[in-house]
This record gives sequence, C-alpha cells and structure tokens, in this order.
Amino acid sequence: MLPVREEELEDRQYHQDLATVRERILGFVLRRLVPHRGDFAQAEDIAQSCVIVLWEHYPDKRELAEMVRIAIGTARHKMAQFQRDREKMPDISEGAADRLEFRVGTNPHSGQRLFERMAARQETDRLLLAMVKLPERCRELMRLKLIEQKSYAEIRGITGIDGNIYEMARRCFRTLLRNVGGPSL
Amino acid sequence: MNQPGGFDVEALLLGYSAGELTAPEERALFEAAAQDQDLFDQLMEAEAVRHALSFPEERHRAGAVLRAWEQQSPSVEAVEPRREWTRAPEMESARLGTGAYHRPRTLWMDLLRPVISTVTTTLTLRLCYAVLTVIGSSFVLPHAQTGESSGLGVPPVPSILHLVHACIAALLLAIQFTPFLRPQDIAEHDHPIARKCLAQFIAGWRWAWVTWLMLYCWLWANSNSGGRPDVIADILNCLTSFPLFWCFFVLDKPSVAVPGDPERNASFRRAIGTVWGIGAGVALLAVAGRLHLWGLNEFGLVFMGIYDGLAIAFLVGRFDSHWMKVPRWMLAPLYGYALIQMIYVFFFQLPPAWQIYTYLVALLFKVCLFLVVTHLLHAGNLRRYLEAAEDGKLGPQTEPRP
Repeated sequence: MLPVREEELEDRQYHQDLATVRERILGFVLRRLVPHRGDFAQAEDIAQSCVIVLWEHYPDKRELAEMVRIAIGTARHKMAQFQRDREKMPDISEGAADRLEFRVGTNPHSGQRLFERMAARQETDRLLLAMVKLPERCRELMRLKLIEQKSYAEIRGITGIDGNIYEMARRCFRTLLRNVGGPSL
Repeated sequence: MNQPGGFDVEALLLGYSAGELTAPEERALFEAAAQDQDLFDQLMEAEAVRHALSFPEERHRAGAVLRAWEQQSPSVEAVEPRREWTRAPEMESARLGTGAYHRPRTLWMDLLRPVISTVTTTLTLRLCYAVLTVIGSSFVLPHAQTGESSGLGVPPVPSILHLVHACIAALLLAIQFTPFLRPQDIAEHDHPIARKCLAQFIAGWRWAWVTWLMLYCWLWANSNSGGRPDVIADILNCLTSFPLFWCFFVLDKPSVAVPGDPERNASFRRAIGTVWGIGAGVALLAVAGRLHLWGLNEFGLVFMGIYDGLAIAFLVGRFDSHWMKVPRWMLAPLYGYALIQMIYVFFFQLPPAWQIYTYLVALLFKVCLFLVVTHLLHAGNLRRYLEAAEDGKLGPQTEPRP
C-alpha cells in the first residue's frame, strides 16, 4: 500500500465534507422548491452555489460543523434570491441593497443590510403564521421563550406550569418547526 | 429525538433558535445535522426562526401581533402580516382556497379565449363608435354635416365642446383640492424623501390640469374669432406636457436633496432643464411653422405632437411598474392617449366630424388618466412605490457618489 500524505488525506476529507454539505442542502432545497417552485436543475444550482461559496470564500473553514453553519446561511440567502427572481422582481437588486449602505440623510434604514431585513421580515411572518396554529399553551410558551427570551424559571413563574417545562417546550417547538416548514419560502 | 451521541437534538434545536447554545453544543448539532437530512431540514427552519428573532424590531413586532391575536382571537388571515410583494401567487390562491394557480389549463379554454376576445372587441368598439357618433353628431355644425368646408370664422369644433372640456378640467382640478379622494400621506419620520417626492408629484399633476384648463379656456374664448387654433394655443398645448415630464422625472430620478447630500437631485434638475429647453424649442418651431417663418410650414406641429405624446408615454410607462399595481388593461387607454397626440399635425386636416370624434376621445382618455392617477394617489400605490424607492428596493439608478 502506497503511503498517503497527510495533506492529501485532509483534502480527501474536505472534499467528502463538501459533498456531504451539498447533499444536505440539495435535499432541503428539493423538499422546499420542487416541483411547485422550481425544478431539479434549479435546486442543484442553489446547492452547488453554496458549495462554491464555501470553496472560494471560506477555504480555511475545514471543520464540518463550521462548514454546515456557513452553508446554512448561504443556502437561506440563495433561496431568497431565487424566490425574488421567481416572483419577477428584478428591480430588487444587490446593487440597490449595496447603494443603501451609502445612503446618507435621514433615512431610518440607512446603513442596514436591506436583504437581511427583508429576509427577517419574511421569516417573522412565517413564524407568526406557525405560532397562531399552535395550541394556546404552546403558543404562550413559545412566545415567552423565543420572542420574550425568558428563562425557563421565569416562564414557570409567569405561566404557572407545574409539569416538565423542558419536555413541553421541546414538543411545542417540534410542532412549531413543522408548521414553519410549510410550503412557503 | 435523541441522537446516538446521547444528546437531545430537539432541545438543541430549541436552544439554537433561542440563541442559548454553547459553542460545543452548536458544533455537535451541526455535525449531527450533516449526517441526518431530517435534522438538517429542521436546522434550516430553526435557523430561519433564529435569524428572524435576532432583529429586535422583528421580535417586538411578533410579540405585538401575538398579543393582538390573544386579545381578539381573529382568523389567521386577519393577522397575516404585511407581505404585499413577497406573497407568492400560489400562497394567495391557497389562502383563498381556490387552487386556481395550479389548475391545468384546458385546451378548449385556450382556443375559446381568442374567440371571446375577438367578439368582445368587435362589439365593444362598435358600441363605442356608435356612442361617439351619437354624441359627436350633436356637436357637428350644419356645414360639416353637408361636407362643406368651414367658412372663415366658423370652426369645425364648436365652442361648446371647448367649454365642456374646460369645465371638466376645472372640475377634475377642483376635486384635487377637496377631501374627496385625498392622496395617502407619507409619514415624515418614516420616509422623509418619499414624502417630498409625493408633494412634488402632486404639484406637477395639479399644474398639468391647470395648463389643460388654460388651454381649453383659451380655445373656448378664441373659438369664434378665427376658426383655427392660433400660436397661443400651440404654446399652451406644449406647456401641458411639461408638468407631465416633471411627474415622470419625480418618479424616475432622485428629485429631493437631503441634508447630507445637497446634490442628490442634480440629475433631476438637469433633466428638467433639458426637457424645458426642448419644449421651448418645439413650441418655437410650431409657432414658426404656423406663421410660415424660416421657411417652415405646419409640419412644425409634428414635433409638438411627438413632444406631447412622449410626455404622456413616459409617465404612463412609470405606471407599468409592478409596485404601482395598475391593472394592465387600464394602461391601454393611457398609451392610446399618448398615441393620439401624435396625430396633432393632421388634426386640422381631418373632416370636421372626425375632429369632433377625436376631440371627444381625447377627453375620454384624459379622464381615464385622471382616474388612474387619482387611484394611485388615493389607494396608496404611489406611496408604496415612493417608499420602496427610498428604501432602495427599486433598481439602481446612479452609482453612489464618493
């Protein structure tokens, strides 16, 4: 058996991790986009572009967890871009967002990333729609935990929940995630 | 759901969304997600929740919406947050319960549609023509009905028609100063630039009606003294286009200077100056042609027709924006109005009856333009457009100045 250099082993592992990340993103995008919002090729494009971002912009990030963290953010961005293109809103461009960075004067949104704000607004909308579908106690629990950012002890004091609040929060959050992961982007 | 590693991924996901995980826990979650598609999918959703709630204003909004929900217990639709332009069409149809978006088109409907369009168009236009001739013939003077050329001092378009035009222009102008169909306001603290743009647009729009009113008043006053419009009418006609160009540039260019950038409206000022100059040149040519100076004849009026038509076409072109949400069919009469400006040079060559019909059609189109713009102002479509422009959501116009 020929000896294998350590760098080659590292590269092999890196490429394997890239492939894994690509596979995960493709799986997610396929579930969210195909067949109603896009086709397989478009899903592949999104997954591939995420890998390219990892490869070109973050070559030093070689730890799998770190790669997943970056890929998740990139995938969200790419899917939002895909959605904007699909809704035929070419007027909303990266250039316009960048220009906002330079905006001076009394614009209250000046200096903030437009797309980040837009994405946050959309995600909050989805979260709200998911929240209102929860049972009342779950909704209250999730509101206090996620939105009000209370500790479990505080939530127990506010709601008077006697049982296993951790278990209840887990179940409620599982349902919430299921609701959030509906058909809309 | 527990992983072989012994940690509880659901608890980790909740902790991740709440921003409570330690670095080792986060790493463990990401590594687990890389190996499990379901977990990865859930992590993507959890990331969306985390990202949304990382903005304090979004957290505040979400809390307020949920509190309102608890108090009023309305339906899901009633609290559905604002998503005007972000809403996907299929969401809309699903929300309405129609499912129409994905309904497959049937062949017979595709074939039937052009047939229906043809029949409808033929009948509608025939009806329009009938109405137009009935109304128009009541204005046609006897010499015109007999096909005789109008004598000196007897204009083909009777003065009463000019008066009708003037009265309608005065009425539509007056409406703009009443609380009826008042434009939606823009909050100063939210969008100060958009607010000023809206004021500029409204000012331009009102000036357009003032100039139309002046034109038709002049035509009415002058109708019995020469038979044909004179140079004053040509100049006034040219003046009507300038406010429309102004409105177009307000929508098209940064027209408001801001404290930190006093030159922000430089391109707007340049454009206005240029258009004003072109308008003056066109009016000069038209007048020279009318008076047969510089070897010109009435052909000089061609340029005026083009200038007037372009003013309307440019403005209506802005209404094409999806932010305005003007129904496409509603744009047809507006573009039609732009087109008939081009025949200004031939107007006086038309048979008297045709002149009256054309005049009536122009009046109709003008009212259409008023209705569309008033709708945009009153329903807030223009407000949304200007606010989006201020927020930088529209296409890039200029590179940021260093």
